[in-house]
Formats: sequence, C-alpha cells, structure tokens
Amino acid sequence: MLGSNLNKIKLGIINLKLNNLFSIYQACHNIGYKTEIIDHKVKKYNHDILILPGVGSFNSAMSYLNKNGVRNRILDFVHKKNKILFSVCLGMQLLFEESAEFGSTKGLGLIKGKVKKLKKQKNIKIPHIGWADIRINSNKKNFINKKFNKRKYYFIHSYYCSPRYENEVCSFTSFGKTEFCSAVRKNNILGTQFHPEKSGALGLKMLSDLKKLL
Amino acid sequence: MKKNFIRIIPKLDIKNGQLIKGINLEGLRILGDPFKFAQYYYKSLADEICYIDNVATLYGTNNLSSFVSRTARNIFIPLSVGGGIRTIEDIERMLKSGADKVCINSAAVNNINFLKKATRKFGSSTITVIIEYVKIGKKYFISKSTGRDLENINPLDWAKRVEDCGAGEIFLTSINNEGIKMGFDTKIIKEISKNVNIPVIAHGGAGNLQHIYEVIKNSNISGVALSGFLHYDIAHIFKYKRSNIGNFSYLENLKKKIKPANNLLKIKKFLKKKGLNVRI
Repeated sequence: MLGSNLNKIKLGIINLKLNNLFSIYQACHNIGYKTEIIDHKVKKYNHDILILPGVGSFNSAMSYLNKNGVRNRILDFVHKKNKILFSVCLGMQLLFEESAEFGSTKGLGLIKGKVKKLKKQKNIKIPHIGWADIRINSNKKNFINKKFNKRKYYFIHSYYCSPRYENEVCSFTSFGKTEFCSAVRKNNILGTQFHPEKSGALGLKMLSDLKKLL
Repeated sequence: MKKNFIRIIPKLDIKNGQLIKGINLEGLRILGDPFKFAQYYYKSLADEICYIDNVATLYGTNNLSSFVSRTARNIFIPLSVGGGIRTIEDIERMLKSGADKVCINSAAVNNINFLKKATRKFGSSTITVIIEYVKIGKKYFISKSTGRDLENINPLDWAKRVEDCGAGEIFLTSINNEGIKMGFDTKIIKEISKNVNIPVIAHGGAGNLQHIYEVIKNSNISGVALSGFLHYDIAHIFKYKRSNIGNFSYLENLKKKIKPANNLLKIKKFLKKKGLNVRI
C-alpha cells in the first residue's frame, strides 16, 4: 500500500499566485510526501493528493482557477478514485457554490452550501485570528481522528462555510455565538477552515494522516 | 464570563542577525541567535512568532528574508515579520520567504495609501500595523523607526485610522513601559482595544505573571507579546557567535545557572488557572 511509503505519495500544491505557499510546502515536505508546487502550465494532475491552499480573496482565486483551466483539471482529478483533494482556509471556501465576499462570487460548487461573512458581535474581533477548539461531528466518513476532539488549531479568516448537509461537516468551531463548520468532507473532497500547516505538531499529524485515506 | 482566546507571542527584535533587547527600545544588548530562541519557543507552545528587524528603517535595509525562510522551514506556527517594509515588493518577498503576516509601521505613517494598497492586495488578515507610542508629559505621540522619530498623532486616533484603511491587526507597544518590567500601560491598551474591531496585541512592560493577567483582564486584547520577559531567562542555554559590532557584555557576564522562570508553559498554565482561554 501507498500509505506505508510516504515518499512514493505524490502531493501537488496548486499555486493560485496569491500568497505564501512556503509553509504548506515545508509542512508536506517535512512529513515526507513527494511534494511539488504546480502552476497553470501543468496540464494533468497525476498526483495522489492535491492541495488547494488559501490565503487571499475569493474572487481573485476563482478568476485564476477559471481563466487558466485549473478548474477543469481539479474537477477531473476528483472524479478519480483513490485520490484526495485537500483544501485549506480559502481553499475550503472555494469548494462551495458561492461566497458573499465582494458581493457574490460563484465557487467550484463541489460541495453544496454558501460562504458567509462572520457576523459582528460585541467584544469579538474580526478577522478571527488565533487558536480555537474543533468539535468533531459524529460523521461516518470523518477524516479527523477522534483524539483531536476539542484540541486547538490555528484560524485566520473573516468568512466561513455553511454547508447545506450536516453529514458533510467533520468539525464545528465556535466564534462568539456563531458556530461554524471548520472541516468538511464529501467523498474524496476534504477541507479545513483552520491551517493544519500552522497548527504545530497536531496539524502536521493531521496532514500526515491523509495518507491513510488513499 | 467566557473570555476570548488569548495568543502568547514571543517577539524577537533582530539587528545584524542577532537577537537584541533594549530598554524603552534603546540600549540594545545582544542575546544570541534568534533562530535558536524561536525554535525553543515553538517547542514550548508559542502561539505565534514575531520577528522585527530593528534597524531596517534607520538604515534603509531589510535583511530578514533568509532568517524568515530558515524559521519557516522548521517552525509550524504563524510567523509575523516586520521592519523596513516599504513597498508592495517588500511584502511579497517576506510572504514568499515564509512569513504569514507582515508588520508595517513607518511606511504607513509616511503614506497611508501604502497601507490601503497593501491590505487590498494581500487581504486584511495579512497586514498588521505596529503602533509604538510614547507619553511625554501629558501628551501622547506615535513613533516611527523603532522609537527614533515622533509624530504628533494620538495613538487612539491612529488605531482607528489604520482600521479604516484595512489593517487586520494592531501590534501596540508602549515605549515608556517597554523593557522596564513594571507592568503594561493598561489605560491606553484598554482604550484602544475597546475602540477598534480588529485584534490588538499588547506589548511592553511584562515583569511578572500578574502583569500579563491584569492587562488581559482589563482590556479587550487578543494577545500579549513578550520579549525580554522570555529571552533573558533562556539566553544562557544557547551558544552565541561573536560579531564585530554590538554589545556582548550581557552574554559575556551571564551566569550559567539561571533557572528559566518565565517559560511559556508556566505563563499559560497560570492564565488558564485564572480562567482565561489559552492553548496548552
């Protein structure tokens, strides 16, 4: 099996040309995956794990995906079995149908639901920056190990995903009175609102657990 | 009452590749290799690391990117970097080197449009504004170039202004309290953190655990940045490399047997016991 031999697992990080890929690259590389950054010139994704990273704005990310044909390559990729699409932060938001960021922008539509702005609340600061607990949803297809329940991961965002189907939610996180979906899974499409690559040893463990899903 | 999450952030001031620490941002002592300190803090559960190049604006340079890369290759928590950031290209270079957030001070004071442009391009959550302020008599000023130049602007007015211009976070240093270890300037920290809607990180003055607790309890901050409070305790652990310039007398006269008293975990356990939301 692939799972036992990490350096045979090909992991590609999609370069959206928006921001820092250094951390996610280093994290995957240090774990031992055969890691590369892929730009729009790569026409076919023959990787085992594809990472859709994310800091930046929803509409500039979508226009990059649409303009360069990257969108169709991602759609082709997720149709294959035994492949994992793992998306982080903005990357997770891109999976949904639409986002309220800058009016309304259409997303990849791989998961039903919308991306909404975090509501203003008294004494609660936005952007949400910091470490917060994840509460694991009882979901048969959860990719997050139960031992991570109520552990803290690093968040930095102003928008959150609101999936239509609760059985696709893998974890919830509280932000003041708002409870939002902090991890999602539909078949081989996975996402986290938090940054596992910035969440210390616990985050690295989550990334290295992806191999078990192949 | 459920308190918001509090980040504990080691702040490392760097000059010519060495970790330094001063008093009121002056009288700089060399404490050693910043990377070793950062690694130590990562292992002891820092929530974030902040690197500031202290003389970058003064000398018109910024040399931190190789440090940033070395750190980001080994440390998997957020990394904020500042000092001498003047252009969009400077920000791009820092992000490419592995910074998660970029801190701006002088360049925003000199040209507020630069701040607007930066936050539009990189997103609010990538841009932190450093506000260093000083009280002279009864009047408050903000300062540029790490305390070297004063501007006749009130820190609260400036905080609101940078929020309006899209800053994602404010890193607030009281120069009067910095390095003195007599506690934080709770009055101004409270005023600013209650009057802006973006996160505020308080820095300057931690001398004991109670100081840290007090400033969190009495304000609406999202985190506390610590420098001397942490660095002095562990400076003796690491070997240091001499360079031609700088004040090495602190390291040369350092007693070998200091027991680290103020380590991060101890701070966090103390705060947790007081009912605060911290990561342990």
